[in-house]
Amino acid sequence: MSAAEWVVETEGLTRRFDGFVAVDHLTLRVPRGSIFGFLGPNGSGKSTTIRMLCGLLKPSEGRAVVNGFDIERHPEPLRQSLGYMSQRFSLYPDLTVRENLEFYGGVYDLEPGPLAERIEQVFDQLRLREHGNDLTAALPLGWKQRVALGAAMLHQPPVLFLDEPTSGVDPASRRMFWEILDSLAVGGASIFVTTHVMDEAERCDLLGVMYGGHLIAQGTPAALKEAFPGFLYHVDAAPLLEALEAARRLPFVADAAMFGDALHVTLPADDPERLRRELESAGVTVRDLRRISPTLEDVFVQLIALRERAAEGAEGGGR
Amino acid sequence: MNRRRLLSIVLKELRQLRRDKRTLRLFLIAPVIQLTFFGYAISTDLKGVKLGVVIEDPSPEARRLVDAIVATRAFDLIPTASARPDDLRPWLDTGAAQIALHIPPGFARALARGQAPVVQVLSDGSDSNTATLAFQYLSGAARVWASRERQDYLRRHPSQAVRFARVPQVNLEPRFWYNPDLKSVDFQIPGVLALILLALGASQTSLMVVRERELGTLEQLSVTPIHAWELLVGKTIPMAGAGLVMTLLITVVAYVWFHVPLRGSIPFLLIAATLYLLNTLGIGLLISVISRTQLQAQITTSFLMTPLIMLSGFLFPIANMPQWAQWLTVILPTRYYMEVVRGVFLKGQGAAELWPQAVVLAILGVLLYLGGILSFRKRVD
Repeated sequence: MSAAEWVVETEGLTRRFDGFVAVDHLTLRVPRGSIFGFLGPNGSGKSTTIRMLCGLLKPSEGRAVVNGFDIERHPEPLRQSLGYMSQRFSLYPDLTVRENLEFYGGVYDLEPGPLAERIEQVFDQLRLREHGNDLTAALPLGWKQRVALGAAMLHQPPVLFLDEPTSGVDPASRRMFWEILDSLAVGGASIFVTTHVMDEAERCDLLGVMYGGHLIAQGTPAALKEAFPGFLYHVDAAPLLEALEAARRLPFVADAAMFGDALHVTLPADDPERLRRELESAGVTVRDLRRISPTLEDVFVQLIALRERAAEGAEGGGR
Repeated sequence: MNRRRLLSIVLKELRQLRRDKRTLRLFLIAPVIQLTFFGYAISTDLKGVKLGVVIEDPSPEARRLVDAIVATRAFDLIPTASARPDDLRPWLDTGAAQIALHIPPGFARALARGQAPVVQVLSDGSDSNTATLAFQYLSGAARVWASRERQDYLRRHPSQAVRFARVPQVNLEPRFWYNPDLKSVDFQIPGVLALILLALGASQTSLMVVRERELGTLEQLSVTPIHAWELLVGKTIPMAGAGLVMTLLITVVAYVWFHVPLRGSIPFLLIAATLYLLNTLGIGLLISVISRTQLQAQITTSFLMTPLIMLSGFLFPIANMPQWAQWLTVILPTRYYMEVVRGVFLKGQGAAELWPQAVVLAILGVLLYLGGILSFRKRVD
């Protein structure tokens, strides 16, 4: 693949804050025209990475190229070619939806005529027309997020960075938001989005998982699930909490976690009968036990758990 | 420079200002309150100073001296029927009088002999401002009385006139130019202009910029192609406009309502106001650079406002300040604008006399404004 096909390309990208490393030698490639989901627990370095890629933070080390522009050497064309939605609300509450868009359009130097047309387009695409002349402060959160997206995409940037765009948004608005993202990606835009919601991650073309400033996994949702280490079982048992504790005590259990009203238990070997026997001998009634294919959430929890255990192990070994 | 980006900021600010009824009201009310304070409440004119008098020489001359003092209208005579010298101390101690006059026996006799009669003045120095002013009023009254007595004496004894005619006479007749009535209103109301434009520039500007930092819109703007100086110039243009409108408003109220004389050039007043606004807006920008929250900006503003106003010559004459403070005023834009405003209002001056002040205002203004823009970092880290 040639360099032009990567919309984001980083090498050894690092950012330190007073003795703590938020992003640690991150090397990442995101293909053009895809929706890239950036996952990871809070504080894993996702936002810091995005802020560096947008030119808001200077990297301490390493380099990054976004849409062909080196983020440190060509900040001006970089700014014109990206749209950014921060975690924080970034519109003027005392302006109407239309005024907010007019303002950002002017800031991106769009001429008045084309800008007016473009605002109409965005109104249609994001279904904003109904509240176009309302003050932004008065809108529900889902609407506000759509307006913020509208402001970020008004100048038709080839790259969009969206930092948790749907946090706090109700499911219906969330779905609508993702439909819009899909249509933008179909239109050729590259979207770099962070999320904590697994069914959103499921809709991405490609995922990257951050932990402790490192990229610990990357691939399509299907590939990540494929790479799930071990065998996953759905265990319906009573009493549930005791079952969970018992499962965690068993030496051959790789991982056990609560999942709705059942447990998800990971075994390195495909031996469900041994699990059933051990649980029942611990005084737990097993009503159902079957192998299932992992969801992204399983993959995510597993990846993080493995890392945490490795970190604890390294710490213990050092003593 | 990109005109469209700049105009977008200006338009946005105007739209926000139009909806910000509270700030608009403040723009209107603040000058009214300040004008009321300085027009009615705070006055450095001497009025109603409580004066106690002990007369041990009930002569017509002594009576006339007291009359001359009362004629200044600065004093309220406390009831002092049959007062004795022993009363003097208790008056001051209890605050019954702020200043006391003791005319001893033999006052008229000394006068008749051609000697200078002695009177004693005791004053409560714990309020040194009032004490000093009151003493000046008293001395003035005594001089008026003395010269009248002398003329009276010569009229009654024309034979003596020959002898006196040889002695050169100095007759002190103080005449205050530019503000002949010495009305502090005339002196202070123009000063309100300097005060309001400072509050507008420093406080409103820093609040407006810091609010964007708090809102998160500043971070959003940082990822757009807009330059810091376009943003800041765009934000300060409407403020400067508001400042000029307020200058006209205050000028009209001062002239029409408070009858402050307006003798000089109004166009020059507006040019100086523009230059002064460059200073105050620059101060506002500098404050916004170092403030992360609106509260911090507000505290920093009030911290800076105090010396800027106190040392401007608004309430206290610069010539009365210690030498180091006088040197400090050399870099204070408030000082120069105060001189311009008073020059235009009271002395009828214009560019011909006040151009040096205008030049200093321009230099300081460019330094402060550019300093504000350059130190404003576009990156939010």
